[in-house]
Amino acid sequence: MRTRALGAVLVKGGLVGGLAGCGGTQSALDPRGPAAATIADFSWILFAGAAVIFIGTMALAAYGVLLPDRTKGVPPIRFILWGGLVFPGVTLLVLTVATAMVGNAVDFRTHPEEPLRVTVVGNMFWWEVVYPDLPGGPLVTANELRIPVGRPVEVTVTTRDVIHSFWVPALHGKMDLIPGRMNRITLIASEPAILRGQCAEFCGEQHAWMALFVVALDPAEFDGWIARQQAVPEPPDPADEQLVRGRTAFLEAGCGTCHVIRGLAEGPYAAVGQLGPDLTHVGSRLSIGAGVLPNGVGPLAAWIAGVQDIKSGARMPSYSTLDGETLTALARYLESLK
Amino acid sequence: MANPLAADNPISIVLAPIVWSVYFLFVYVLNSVACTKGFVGLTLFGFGIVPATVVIATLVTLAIMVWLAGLAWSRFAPVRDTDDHVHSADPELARLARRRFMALAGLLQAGLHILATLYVGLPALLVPEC
Amino acid sequence: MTSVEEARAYEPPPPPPSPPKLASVWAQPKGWRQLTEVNNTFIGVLYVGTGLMFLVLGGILALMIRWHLAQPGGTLLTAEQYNQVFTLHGTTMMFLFAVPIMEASSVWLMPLQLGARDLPFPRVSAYGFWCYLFGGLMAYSSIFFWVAPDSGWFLYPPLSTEYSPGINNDFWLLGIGFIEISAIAQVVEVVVGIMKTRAVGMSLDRLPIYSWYVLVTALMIGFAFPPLILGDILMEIERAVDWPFFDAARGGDPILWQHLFWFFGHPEVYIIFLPAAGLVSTILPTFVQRPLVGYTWVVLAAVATGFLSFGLWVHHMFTTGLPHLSLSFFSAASMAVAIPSGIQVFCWIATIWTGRPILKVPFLYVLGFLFIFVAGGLTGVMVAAVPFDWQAHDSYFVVAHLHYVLIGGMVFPLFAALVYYLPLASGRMPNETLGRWGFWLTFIGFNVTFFPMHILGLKGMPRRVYDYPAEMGWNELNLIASLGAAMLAVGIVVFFTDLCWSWFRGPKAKRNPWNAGTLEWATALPSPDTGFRSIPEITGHYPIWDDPTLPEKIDRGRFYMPDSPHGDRETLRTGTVDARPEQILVLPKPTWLPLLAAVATTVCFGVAIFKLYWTSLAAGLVGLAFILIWMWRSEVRSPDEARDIGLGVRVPTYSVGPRSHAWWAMVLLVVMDSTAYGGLVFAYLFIWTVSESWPPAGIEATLDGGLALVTAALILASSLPAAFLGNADRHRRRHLIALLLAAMLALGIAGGWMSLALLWDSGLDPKRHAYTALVWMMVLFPLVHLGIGAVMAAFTLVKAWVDPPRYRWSHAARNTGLWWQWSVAQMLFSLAVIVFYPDLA
Repeated sequence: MRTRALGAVLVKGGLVGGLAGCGGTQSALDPRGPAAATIADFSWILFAGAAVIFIGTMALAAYGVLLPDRTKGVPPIRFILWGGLVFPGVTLLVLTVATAMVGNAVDFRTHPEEPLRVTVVGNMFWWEVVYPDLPGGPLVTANELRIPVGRPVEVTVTTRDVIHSFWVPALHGKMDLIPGRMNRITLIASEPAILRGQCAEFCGEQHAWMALFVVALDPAEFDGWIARQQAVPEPPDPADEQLVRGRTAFLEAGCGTCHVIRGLAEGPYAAVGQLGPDLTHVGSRLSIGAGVLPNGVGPLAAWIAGVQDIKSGARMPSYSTLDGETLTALARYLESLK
Repeated sequence: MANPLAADNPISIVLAPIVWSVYFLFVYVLNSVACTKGFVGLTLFGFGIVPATVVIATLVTLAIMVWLAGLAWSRFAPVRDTDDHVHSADPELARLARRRFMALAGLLQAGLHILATLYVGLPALLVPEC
Repeated sequence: MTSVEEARAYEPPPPPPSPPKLASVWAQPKGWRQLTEVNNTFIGVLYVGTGLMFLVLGGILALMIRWHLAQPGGTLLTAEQYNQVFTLHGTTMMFLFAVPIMEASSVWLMPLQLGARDLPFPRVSAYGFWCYLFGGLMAYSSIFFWVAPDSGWFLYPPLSTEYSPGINNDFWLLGIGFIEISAIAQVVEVVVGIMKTRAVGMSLDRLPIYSWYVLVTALMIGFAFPPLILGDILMEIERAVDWPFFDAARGGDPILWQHLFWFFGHPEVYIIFLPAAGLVSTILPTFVQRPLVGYTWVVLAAVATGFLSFGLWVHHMFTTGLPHLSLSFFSAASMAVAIPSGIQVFCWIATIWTGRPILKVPFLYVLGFLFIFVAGGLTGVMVAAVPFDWQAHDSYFVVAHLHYVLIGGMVFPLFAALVYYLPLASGRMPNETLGRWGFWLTFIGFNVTFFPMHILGLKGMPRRVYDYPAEMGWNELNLIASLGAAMLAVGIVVFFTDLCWSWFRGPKAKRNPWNAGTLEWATALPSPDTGFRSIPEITGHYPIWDDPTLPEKIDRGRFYMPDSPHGDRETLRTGTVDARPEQILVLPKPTWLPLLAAVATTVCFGVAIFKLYWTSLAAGLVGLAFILIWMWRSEVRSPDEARDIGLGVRVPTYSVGPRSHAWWAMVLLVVMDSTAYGGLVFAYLFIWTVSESWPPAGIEATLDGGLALVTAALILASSLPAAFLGNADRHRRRHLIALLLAAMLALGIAGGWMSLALLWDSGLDPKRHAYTALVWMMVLFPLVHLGIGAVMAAFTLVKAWVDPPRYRWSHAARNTGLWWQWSVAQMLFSLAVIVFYPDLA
């Protein structure tokens, strides 16, 4: 147990460093969209107000402690009436109204522009992302939400298992994914960026490694990405034996019982499984394992062979019996699915 | 426990909070049911049914609170200077102090819950129901 | 009022010995038999000590968390172990430390402050304590086998139900559920104690401020815990027999659990904070040597907090997608609750202003409390603002906020109180130097640990993660927090070293060493088992400052009940509002029964975790037998009907009806129980709101209206004899009482049987849908109540028929009547709802 855990750390420590380039911000104080920006401004006002009140209150207490003097002049009851009742009463009344107004300002449900609709489905411990009504038909991907800059995106969230929470701090607050319910949150990104989000409601063993990348793209770039994603990947060049071997290994190892790769829907080992992430364009993604590793041949091979060492409790077993060559071929094949 | 409004009844200390609790529960249940059962679109006097009802409920609650505050004030004013009698060994003087305590507590409760009612009622004018 | 300086200058002469009878009847048994002691002086100290033990145990888990998170890729724990550790940390701190230790403090301190010899139901305190000790150890010990609860202290389904098949969460549901019941027992004890067992002249407006806080807190527990207990029961039923209350696939809703949990969970925070604020309001005036400014304001604030805090629960659910306006209501209430806190803070500061502060260790902790609590309160206002909370919720910002509020708001006052009351409990003074070191280490360590977490949360770090990526910019802050935790731990060790060393080796304390004004300091040190030699008459909030010779007068037996003529343990019952003497309460002597009953209860719940239901039932029956023996020995008959208690006052030794403590206890129990039943009705209506139609589509089976009517008629008829029990008792017609009880039982059993037949014949399968499960629960819940009523009725029937010479049975008869009528009302309401509501809806 001990050595396995240590192994996991080594794998992660060695590989995660490479992710820094595409880490993306996850800070509520570094907003990249109007909702988060409004909330951040509101937050700074709250912090400043709280700081002033805190210092003022402590100064009053310190004055009483350090300069004991019976003739301070303020009748105690008036002190309590103004300091304890009237001042907070008025401040909080203002705050209640401000809260309502800020809440309305970040509510884009009534935005005049037609939103892009996306469905995000929570799973232990990854995200399925569905674009249900694209002109070219629905598109399914995982752990990555690409959106056009400037256009409202209505995200419908729900879950296949337990409660999760969708949180991309640089864009907006949280929205819970609850069994049997469809919650909606409308996001707008104001500039092209790579943002990181993470499940915010405790969802079990690997709650910590359930990340989601949001990539905000210029609208034209976004359309191009959609077109590439909707295309069925080309079969591997028959001349590249390693790729062909990788594809065969994918099918023969039974990966298709849990994963979809469009274009591999035929035959005894068809890749039509619905339990794991859609891998059709897995090579184009920023990370694997919902943020636990960067993408690439090495990490893919490490992941397949040692899922349970890297992310214990994930629903995929470790394929540690695959020989090195097969493993490399498989990883290269998956990496080729751009 | 005979008359909850009697000057000597300690219940007078919690009347305002009880009224507030009923009001709060009412507006919460109203809005939840309106949103889940889909009658949120109905209107009353040209306003949405929920905001209109919440405003009416808020005004009624405020009226009750103001009345409670007035009642407490009318009891507090005559004995407001009896604070020191709380230390009195004379049962009659101690009784005055007790009245003062209950009247003042009732008055403050009403005042505080007037604020709490305003806080709860105001957003109905600003925030969409569902 | 005499000046405080005069009081300080006065030192009472050493107390003369108590009369031998009084001393011997209150003396603690020796050796093993000491475990039979039920007096609050003994139980209270054990109780507080147990609470502190759980603080240490929970703290060790906290240190494991901080050790593990000090750097990314922590290796101390695996993911699964981390989840168990943080779940048990929260559970231990909330349920095994914070709530119980505050109840423990009140059990120990309250009688001294009120001028009583003990609280009115000492065996209930003892039983509650033993249940807490055993249940707590049972729940905690799961971590030693790595089978501790692992779904968070809030246990959200479906993670805690369908996705946690192991026994981990059963430790939570059964272990903690069982401790909640003991908390309810203490509520009855404390509330009735405050209402009924006060010093003469301690009218409501002279009630010690701490008692007001404890009263409000106890009533809050009474309203907040029963819905949680109901939730526990529903969840355990879902886990054990698959009734789908929270299963969305079968019409249930996981959000229902969140409502039930947070309806408890938010008031819980104030349940923890208010008694601590009460301690502050008690200690602070001593160290400025001036009375608390704005007594009425503080009472108002405590009472208002009690109410407003029930309007906050949804602010833990701001991100669940509830309607926006609903969120605003709860946001508004969360703002409003800050006002009473502000009032208290200003009352405390005003009090400091009126005096000359003495910077001893307890006062340092009070000031530390003020600093941390105000900061935590301000972040609390922030998270009450809905849009801010959408970002802060479930992030480390909330971790920081809640620790500021709970450690600042509760642990600091508790530490102040532990040092402050050390002389009263042990007769020895704490060490000032160690105390100061402990304070500064704790205070600085606390802030270093938790302040960075605010920033971590805003930088996007979610709660409850066992690991985090190295490149997020969270590493330094996490490391600082972990170093702070180490410092905090050292501070707490120093604090406890002082406490333990001083308890045994500290210098002997002189009487009233802090020159306090409140009544508890009028006793000799350490406070004797007898409590007060005579029960004083007081005039004011600070009896000792009012009359410095009061301790001497008490010692000399100048007041009420200076002896125990019949060798009974007794205390005085006084009027609720004006505190005039009304009755002598005869209290029980040491007995094994509470301990034995607690052991049986523990076995009953403990083996149920392992699904050994028959063993569990057997243990439950054994426990019931002990409790029935205990009840048989209640209502001790005093040889005299009325007695002179001194100063020319003569009072009866027995009373029934609304004047008696037993009647109030039952009324309280019914009120608390009504909130559990209310929770069930809420669950039924809640599932209605989330269903498209009612009954939901696909449920064909219906209830037979005719059968329901017959059931209702029988049940209603059984309440008639129950209604006459009081009358029959007033005329001392014990055989008539037995007959009435027999009629009540017969009708009740027939009606109960019919209600089961109603369910059975309906063909509604409780596993099919949340609706069907709730229909069953709506009937089973009152049915269990009628069952308990039947046991009470059979017991009372026998006791009234036998009429034992040493015991009475009037309370038993009247309380059985009350309980029965309440159960009947539940059953009738349930039947009406399940039969008619589908048509109405």
